[in-house]
Amino acid sequence: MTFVVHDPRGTRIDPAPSLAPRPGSLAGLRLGVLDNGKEQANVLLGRAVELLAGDGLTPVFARKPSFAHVAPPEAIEALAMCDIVITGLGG
Amino acid sequence: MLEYSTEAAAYDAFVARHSDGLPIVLPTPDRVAAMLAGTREDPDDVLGLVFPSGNAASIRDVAVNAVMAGAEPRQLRLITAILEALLDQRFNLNGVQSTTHCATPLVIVSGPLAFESGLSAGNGVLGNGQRGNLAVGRAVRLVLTNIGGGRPGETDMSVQGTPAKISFCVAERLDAGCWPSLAERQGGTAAETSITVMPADGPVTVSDHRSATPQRLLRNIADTMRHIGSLNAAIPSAAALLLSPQHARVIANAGWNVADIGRYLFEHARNPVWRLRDAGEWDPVKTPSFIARYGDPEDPEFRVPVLASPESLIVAITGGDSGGFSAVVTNWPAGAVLHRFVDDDGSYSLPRSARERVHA
Repeated sequence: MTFVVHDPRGTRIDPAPSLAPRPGSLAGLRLGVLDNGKEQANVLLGRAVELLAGDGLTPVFARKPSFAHVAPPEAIEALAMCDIVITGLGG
Repeated sequence: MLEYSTEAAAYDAFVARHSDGLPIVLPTPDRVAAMLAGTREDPDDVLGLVFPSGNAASIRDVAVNAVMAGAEPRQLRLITAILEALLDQRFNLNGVQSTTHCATPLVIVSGPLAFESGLSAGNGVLGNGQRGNLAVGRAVRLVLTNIGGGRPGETDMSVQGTPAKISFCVAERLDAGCWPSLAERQGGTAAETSITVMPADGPVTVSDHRSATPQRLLRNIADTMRHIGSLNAAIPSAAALLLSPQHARVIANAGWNVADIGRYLFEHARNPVWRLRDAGEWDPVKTPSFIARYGDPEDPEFRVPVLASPESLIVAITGGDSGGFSAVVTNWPAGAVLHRFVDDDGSYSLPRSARERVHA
């Protein structure tokens, strides 16, 4: 005998997102950088790119016009061509 | 359906994972069926996708959360109508749900369906003791949390939140005798009911028992609206003014209408450029571009409006008759203020793309 209740979470349409496998080496990978448009995000991400540049990566930059909205399709398309993407909150 | 070994086990699991932090009513099949009697919609019909999770919300799913919130079946039609407004992509629910700001939807219900649904507009309207307002607002919140996935610290990154995130739903007084109702000013008839939603801060009280003229009272309200900590100060946008009947009569008895209030506050709820530079959310690039629509951002004395236009002010009369207190609700400016009417047949309309995606 069990107690049955409705699930309050609705129906998931897209599969649950998960993180991609971590690369063992950065050599030869395409690096994407998503600047969310928040104050100082470019400072944080710029420093991260500087550090990664030592591994010979050439970054592809994409910027959200507003941190309060989702990234525009062209930014997503540009980042989809990359092997790894870094982003950060800023603020 | 979810299965648990006992009712107590189900209750503990729901309060831990599917609640707003308060006790809930378990959504048993019998209770959900009783809730669905409150609508003529097909329970399997999908209202839309609730972001940031993007999970689909059927009428039944909404009813499940309405049961949990302690709502009544007669309130389901109102709850689904509110959600339809929130799921309009112009509202930017994804942003409202995930921002670090305390943003939450303010819901104003104007029209007879508010009271047929058990909402209130009298003493304490924004606070405790308002079963209908609290249950409807809480049902909306539980949908946003459970279906939309907006959980604090997970995808809801609000730093402090606000008590208004638990429930923020009011009805408008229809008996104040000052002006046409909000719904009528939005183009409806006295028989129709409108839902107005705004991404909002929590309410700020304006106390005033001295002002006998609209100008004196509205200067007080303007001062509250332009506080530097609100995003409105740096980004002219929308605001809501929830006027108590006593304050509304001070204004209406002088022959002023709602448009006059908007014009006065557009002109007087302003901050000089030097003050915005001196404190608050001055962005050296974005803020001047916002200001340039109205005047010279390089002029330190130019007075920057809080409202994008006189029409950007939402005015509703609500609260008891026992004093001179109103509430100003400022805006999270990255989402639109929207209104819609609750259809006579309880039906709703959705962008086709949303439905097709759900049913694909």
